[in-house]
Amino acid sequence: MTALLDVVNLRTSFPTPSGLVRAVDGVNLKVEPGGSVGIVGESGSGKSVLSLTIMGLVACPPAIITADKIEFEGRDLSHASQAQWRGVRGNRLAMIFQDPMTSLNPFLTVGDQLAEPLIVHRQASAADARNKAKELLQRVGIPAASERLDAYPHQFSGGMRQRVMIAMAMACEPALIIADEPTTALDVTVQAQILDLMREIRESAGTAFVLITHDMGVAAGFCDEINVMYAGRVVERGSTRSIFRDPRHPYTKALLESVPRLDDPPGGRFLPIPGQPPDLTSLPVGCSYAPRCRWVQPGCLETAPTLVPVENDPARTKACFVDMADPKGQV
Amino acid sequence: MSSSPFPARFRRPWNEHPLSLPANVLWVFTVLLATGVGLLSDFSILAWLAVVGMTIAATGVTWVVRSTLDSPNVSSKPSDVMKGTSLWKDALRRWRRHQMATASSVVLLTIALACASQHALIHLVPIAMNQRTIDFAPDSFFSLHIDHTRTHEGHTYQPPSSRHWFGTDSLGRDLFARTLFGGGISFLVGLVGTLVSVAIGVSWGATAGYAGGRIDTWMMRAVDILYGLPFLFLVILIMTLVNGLGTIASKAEQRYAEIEMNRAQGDLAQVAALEEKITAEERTALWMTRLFPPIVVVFIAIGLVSWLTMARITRGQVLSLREREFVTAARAIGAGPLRIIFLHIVPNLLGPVIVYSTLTIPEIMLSEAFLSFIGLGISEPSCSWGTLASEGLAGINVIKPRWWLMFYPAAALSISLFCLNFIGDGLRDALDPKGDRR
Amino acid sequence: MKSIISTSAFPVLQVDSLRVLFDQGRDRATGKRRILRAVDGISFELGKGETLGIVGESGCGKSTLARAILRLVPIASGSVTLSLDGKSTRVDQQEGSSLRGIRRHLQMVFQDPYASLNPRMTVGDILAEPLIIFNIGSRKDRMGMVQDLMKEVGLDPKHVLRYPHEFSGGQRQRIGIARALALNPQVLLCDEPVSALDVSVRSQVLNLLLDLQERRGLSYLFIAHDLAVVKRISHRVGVMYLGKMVELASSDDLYAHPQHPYTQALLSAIPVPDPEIERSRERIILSGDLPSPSDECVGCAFASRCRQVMARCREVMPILERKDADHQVACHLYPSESIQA
Repeated sequence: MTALLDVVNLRTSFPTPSGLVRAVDGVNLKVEPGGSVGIVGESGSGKSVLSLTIMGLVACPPAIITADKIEFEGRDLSHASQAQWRGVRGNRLAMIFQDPMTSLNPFLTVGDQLAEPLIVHRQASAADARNKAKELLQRVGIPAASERLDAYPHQFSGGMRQRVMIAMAMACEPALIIADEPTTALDVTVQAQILDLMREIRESAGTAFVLITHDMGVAAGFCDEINVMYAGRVVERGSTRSIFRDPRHPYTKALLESVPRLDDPPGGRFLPIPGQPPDLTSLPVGCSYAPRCRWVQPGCLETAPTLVPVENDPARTKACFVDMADPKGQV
Repeated sequence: MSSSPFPARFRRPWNEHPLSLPANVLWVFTVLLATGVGLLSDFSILAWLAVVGMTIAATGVTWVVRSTLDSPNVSSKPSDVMKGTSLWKDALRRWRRHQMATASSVVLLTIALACASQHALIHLVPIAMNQRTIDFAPDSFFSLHIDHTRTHEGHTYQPPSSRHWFGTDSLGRDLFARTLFGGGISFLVGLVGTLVSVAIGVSWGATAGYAGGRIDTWMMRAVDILYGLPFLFLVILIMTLVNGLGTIASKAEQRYAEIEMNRAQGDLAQVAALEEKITAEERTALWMTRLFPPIVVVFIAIGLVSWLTMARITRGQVLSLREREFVTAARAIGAGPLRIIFLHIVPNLLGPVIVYSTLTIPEIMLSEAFLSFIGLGISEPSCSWGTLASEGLAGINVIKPRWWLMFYPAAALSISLFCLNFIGDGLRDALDPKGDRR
Repeated sequence: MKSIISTSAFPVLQVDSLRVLFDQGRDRATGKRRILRAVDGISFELGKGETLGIVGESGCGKSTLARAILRLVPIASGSVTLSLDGKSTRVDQQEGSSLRGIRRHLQMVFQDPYASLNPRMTVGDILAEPLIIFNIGSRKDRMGMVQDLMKEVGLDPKHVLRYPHEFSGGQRQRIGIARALALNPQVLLCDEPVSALDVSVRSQVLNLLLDLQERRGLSYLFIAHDLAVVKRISHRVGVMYLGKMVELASSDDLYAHPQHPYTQALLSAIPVPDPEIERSRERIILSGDLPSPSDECVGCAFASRCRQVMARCREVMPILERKDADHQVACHLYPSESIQA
């Protein structure tokens, strides 16, 4: 079984005056063809930096990137030159950004921007590219596509622009699309439309997705596998079903409890995670979640746990010393 | 002071520091000695070396104190309140990291201090009837390196030597002293011109930005129109008018001198006749030149035309600050417009204004130099770096290349401008932490 | 358990057909004046100790509503009445110093804790400012009051001399809440107080708001786009669409039996963090985007996206009518008894 994307021990750090910020600290990630992997975490958990690093979009000085392996479709990209990156990026590996308002060039028509990846990667003629661009716009559900080709981004609404971004990512029929918070800037009703579109693309074109989000609900509906990130590390990984039904890491559990759900009974208090999100420049020696953890044990403060398979479920891994089924240290 | 070369056990708070008192005493003595040496006697170069030595010693001790000073929130006395780091302190920390800016500020401060002390020493020794009241020996340090007015027939066009460090000019005046004096004038023009431009620009821009609507439109159209006029043309126009006035005024002055002479001789009829002759025009010209001496006119002329960019910057800042949520929040808790302007808008405005001011100073110094160079602006016997350079240019010829006349003032000007620009750059980086913090 | 306070018994704040219009200048193409109806005839009552949630998508005018109640944007028409200790004051008719007096009782918590605190002032200065403006206490008293406030919202009083940038988002929002509480107001308008915060700190701030309500008997107008949060915290919830209130009901009733097609769509669009439910439940996907609020519209504003649209919807604008005891809805699908009778 060959994975589409195989990342082993990826580290991305940024030197800052107040110390080295380890934004991504030893992350492994594997995406099967046609799979959909969710990366869930709060701001500062390193999920966006992870996606940008995989896309080769982090400028290497100042950042320090090391990885044992970044393999995409059997090619190792960890030592790829910028030219090699350009051949992959936008072609077989595409990205959808968070803010559809700023990720389109306001000076080019939507048609020109859609045609660009085709001309660059497929050496398509201008007329062919235009035809393909029209098809793409129809594909992502933009009405009157042939007229909209000559419109400029500001003439589109937020939801429509995100559709254009998806169409751009789809242009060269990529094997993998990394979607970095694709619906965060959108309203809920538009978010539902976009998620529906992504789901439909995944089913019909067999494109694999890596969905980065802070919204547990979005991940629950879209992803097959979920990685929960905290302070630059993956703390728990497993199938969506098992993670939501039976979270094994204290952070995942607390996160799921703290998010108010629509099917909660009204009234009653919220269940917060105490403390503040970690400061990446001065992480504790042991587990970085330990200061906020309900189940913290003396050992947690000394050594950082690594990702190991869960006792009775080898498909799942977690980075925690505490067995939450039988938490001895529970207060 | 994390970069202190001293181990932590040497750290003391200021009031317990063993060297804090000696440092202060040393500074007081240095200042006293310097004043004394400058004022009282015909001193030797040794006295000056003593002053320099004491300054170095005082600086050294102060440095030691500063590097071993313990910050108050980790002092032996536990304090119940933690001090925060304001954005200003943060900016200062970032600015210190900017090495070019720090080095530049040291160089600039040295030049400015030298110029300022020359001015101070010259003004401490009063002049009566074109003669200094204290007669210094011709070979004294004061006569050789401080007095920029002392002429010497035998020593015209001396090249730089150990006697005259920067050489002498066509009248045998020491160029080192004249460069220092000119620097003082140049800095003064730069500072006062910038102050004028900040005062006009900030109040104009802030009013336009805060008032908004039609007032804003009209005020900024006025700025646009002034922008359209060529800047130097305006200054030259003003300066030419003033020079014209000066000619009329000097004529009037001559007449008054004549009247005084006749009155002293008791020739009252002649006095009346002469008084008849003085026109109203001459009277106004005299009044105006007395009110605005030429140097003040230079300040005003340059300041008047250089406030435009400042006004635009300020207006843009105010416009964006006015829409910020903390201003709305201040309105929500019932703050009035004055409170909002002075407590919420102005402190947030200061950063860009300070940065732009430091970049305006060299701009104004350069325009003054240019004006002086083309013969407007500062006139003899006073001088600025601009006039010195222009005289130097006149003194250059192929057969006798008197390069020092041009070189020293021009170098001093360039170095100062460089430093100011670096400082401005450093300040901009320090005060505008893009992405560093929200 | 939570009890629904009868809203007519002690209304602290009454808003009646409030309108806020923004002139957007002339349209270049048609030459007509474009008027943006940000808030278009909103009426509601807020009882003592009650939380009224206002939900809606961006651009529906919910933030403008809060600002208009506090008179931070000009009101075009309608009335806002504040009733305290049996005395009613018309907020919309106050000017100058009496308007300032109103602001002692009516305060606001802003959305963005990064933008709503002056970066050049210390926390102490920020919290003391309202006290200084209203001339409360001596310098020393104020210092004590500021420290008490900080304790009340869960901040360390030792940090009184720190600056906003030295705090995390959640702590900053606590500062914003403390500033709003400094004058001991009766009504707090919360404009998306948690949407800029991290998921894990949101609940902390929401619990703080619940505690404060219990302790001080505050009334909240809680504006948010997160329906799940609103459900937990609110006694009653109003749904806004393009400047109009389309549905207003008790929290239980609204979430259990949404009546307006827009409310139904909104509720079904929210993802549930549970894969089984999320994948099996029926979703209503609205077609199209929010129309521009400056467009002229004769009938129902939602008609362009409604699944159950009728001919009548495009002609007559529905008004908010009482369906039963605590459920009001503005939709032609539910003709009111009064009209039929």
